[in-house]
Amino acid sequence: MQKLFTNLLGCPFDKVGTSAIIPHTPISMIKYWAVLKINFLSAFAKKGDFIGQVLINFIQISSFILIWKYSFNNRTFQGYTLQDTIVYYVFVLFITYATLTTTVDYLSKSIKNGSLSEWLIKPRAILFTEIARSLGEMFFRMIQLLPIYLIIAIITTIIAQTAIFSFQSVLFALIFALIGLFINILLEYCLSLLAFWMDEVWSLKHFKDIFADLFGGKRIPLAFFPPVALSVLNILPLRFIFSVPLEYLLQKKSTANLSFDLTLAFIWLITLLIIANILFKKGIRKYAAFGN
Amino acid sequence: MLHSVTNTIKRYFKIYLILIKYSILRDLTYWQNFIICVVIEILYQAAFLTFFGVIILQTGNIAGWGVNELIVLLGIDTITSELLTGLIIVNNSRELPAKIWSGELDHVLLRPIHPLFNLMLGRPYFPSIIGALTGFIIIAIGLIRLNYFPGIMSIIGAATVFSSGFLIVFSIVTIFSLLTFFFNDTSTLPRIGERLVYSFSSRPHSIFSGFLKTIFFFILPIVYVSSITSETLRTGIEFQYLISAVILAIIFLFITQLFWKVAIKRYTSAGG
Amino acid sequence: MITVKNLTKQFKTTSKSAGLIAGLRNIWKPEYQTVTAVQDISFQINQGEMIGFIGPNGAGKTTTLKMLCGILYPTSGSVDVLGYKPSDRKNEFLKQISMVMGQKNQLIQDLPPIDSFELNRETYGISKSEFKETVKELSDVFGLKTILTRQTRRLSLGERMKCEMAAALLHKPKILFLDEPTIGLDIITQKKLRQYIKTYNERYHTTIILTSHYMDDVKEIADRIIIINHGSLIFDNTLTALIKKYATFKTLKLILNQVPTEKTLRKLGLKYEFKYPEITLQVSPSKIAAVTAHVLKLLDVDDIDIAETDLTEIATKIFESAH
Repeated sequence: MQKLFTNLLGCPFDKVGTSAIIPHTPISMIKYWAVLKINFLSAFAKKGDFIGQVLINFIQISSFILIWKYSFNNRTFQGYTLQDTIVYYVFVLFITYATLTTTVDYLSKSIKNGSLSEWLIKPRAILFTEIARSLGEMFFRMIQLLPIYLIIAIITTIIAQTAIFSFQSVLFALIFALIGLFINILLEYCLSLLAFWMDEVWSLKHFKDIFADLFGGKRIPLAFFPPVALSVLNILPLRFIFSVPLEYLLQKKSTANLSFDLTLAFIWLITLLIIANILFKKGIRKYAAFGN
Repeated sequence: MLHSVTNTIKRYFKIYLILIKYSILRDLTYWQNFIICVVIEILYQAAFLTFFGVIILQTGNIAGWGVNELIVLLGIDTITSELLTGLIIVNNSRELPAKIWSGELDHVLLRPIHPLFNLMLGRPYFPSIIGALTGFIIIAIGLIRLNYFPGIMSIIGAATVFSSGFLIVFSIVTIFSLLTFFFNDTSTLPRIGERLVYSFSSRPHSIFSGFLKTIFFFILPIVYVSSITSETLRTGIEFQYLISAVILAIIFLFITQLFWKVAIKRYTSAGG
Repeated sequence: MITVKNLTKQFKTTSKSAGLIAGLRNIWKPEYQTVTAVQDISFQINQGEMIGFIGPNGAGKTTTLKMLCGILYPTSGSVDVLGYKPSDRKNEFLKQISMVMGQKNQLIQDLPPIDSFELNRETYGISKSEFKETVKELSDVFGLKTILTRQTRRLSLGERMKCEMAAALLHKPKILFLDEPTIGLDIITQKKLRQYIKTYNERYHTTIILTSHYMDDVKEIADRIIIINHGSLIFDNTLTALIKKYATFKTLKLILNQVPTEKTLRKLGLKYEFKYPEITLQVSPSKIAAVTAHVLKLLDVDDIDIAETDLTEIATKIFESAH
């Protein structure tokens, strides 16, 4: 079991001179906490960028809300009222920052410019390091956004005069947001590993972002898609990045959907881990062969 | 005076032709990259159109604009956003923070041409410019479905409103980009300008009322470049819009120049 | 040609302390500090002079240069270059100056240098015939024939620097600012580049203003040296005057034919460093002749060398004493 996990997590192998690290022991996890902390601190140095990003996303989401405001005309679409749609867009920003990762930007560059070597000689699994890094950045974003969103949640509830959220819905939303983050990291991790073979990984990141935005539920609630499209979108991993956490938050899904969503999420996590491991094993040989 | 102005325009035009030539040469050097970029641009446009497609599928119209009117608007907005991306944003305004931090701006400031010309127009991005061509196809589809073919005056009027509107959005993007001189620990604040244009230029101007109307018609007049252009093309020239567009374009170019003069004084030229 | 009066430049920067608490505090209450890069300096430069600005890192040399060419705005004081205020950045002024920065490129990296030259031709309004002639001349001077049509990023550092120099001289500027032009170059290329600069100055009477950390650059190119440290001007005169003022000794180096006895060495009556076959003495410039004669009488000498104090040592002494 230990060996299976070691292989799945894409750890550096013995041939690079470090003993393979088994990250599930408490002592060895401390180093990932250090990575998380340092990235949390460095995110403070880039707070201007974060504020800018929030404003940019706020502008985009406001434009979506404006369009819907003039489209609803007191109707309901697929169980969504205008109020539901506005609340959806308000909270999509929060979920965006909960599941955001920069793995492709970070890792593919390391592979291309040879600084991956630094990662390989450290006694840390690359994937876990990347997860810790992303979590550090995510905690920084959440600290900035949580107070604002708590106020928004209270105001929204007062305006709606009904409980839009419940403790259960918030809990499920957080769980699925975390799952969404891990899926996003794994997707980008797999894309990054393609840098062992190709120069244009940045383009794949663009493709992934375009598809995730549209078919993951950021631009538009997935419920609004035609049934045929929806049946495909419901089994893809992209929906876990935006749509699933939001639907649980806004109580558009209940515990009846929980087992299906958790099972599907688990299947995708394992699938992506296996793909990542295969790509890493094949890619790292290529990397060493060129002596980078 | 007129002779000097004409000479200046000729000189900048010649320099711009050389810059275009060199951008093409660079893109041809990395042609695989170029093709991928064209595909990405088409995908972005497809996603954008899909978004509107889903809305229209559910609602049938937006603020009184029917499907065919919206198609014409989206066609014009495709041209707007792709030209803005290709001529001004991708290799130009987005690179400004990096140029300021690295001190690369030094060489730009040493040249005897207006630095903004170099910074905001110096390196066209051709995949977007090619993407803009799809906009004409979308406009044609919309007009055919409307069974309407604009007269020469409508076309001239629309072109005038479009050009003025484009100068306005260029100024808005530039002014926000110049914020980098004031907030130099961030590269994203300048992108607020482009996000404002991308997000709101494609909206029918009839959705803006009250306070929003004041903002998007006068303070950040983004409505002219796509929405009002599309209405001019479909229904003919409305002089109040035409004159407003031209006057606002002149005012915004003037504000941009003033803002540049203030911003450049804060440049510290990094490195040795 | 260049007149600088009481020139000062200050920068306002944020200071960030380490740690999480400080990071949190910094969000709401950022701390600022004012750094004075250049403090109240004044000097004058005439047409055709070759000036070397020297000083340690962070002294203010490059900041001064950038104020002279209009890249930076002075905080106070005045600068007049060719009758213009550089910070106005008028086209007529910019067409008469040029700058080469060792650490920054003006050439387009993805294209051959000749394409960047063509862009400069149009930018500076050079006629096609004049451009052709100038490119040929610069090509001969800098040896660019085989590299003008190669992609810039594929050129070696030395080749790129030569092309950068040529690009800067296409419009025949009256003033050429050189900011560490030989940085990263090998010894031979450095020497060649210095020679080109001197030749160019002799031919066109161009004013050259150079900053460098390599004392050989300054020694071989500059007629006059301006030393800046901590933003203040501490020396402005010729190289000879600098040596006279700060060089308190000359170095007398002798190669001996045989090992001298202890008694002989004591008879020298001077401080020395001895490692056979070499003996080195530091002698006051006024006593060099007498000491040389004395030493030659006592020792069996094969070869003799009298050297000025190294300019690097002089500069080090000045910077350390000012610090």
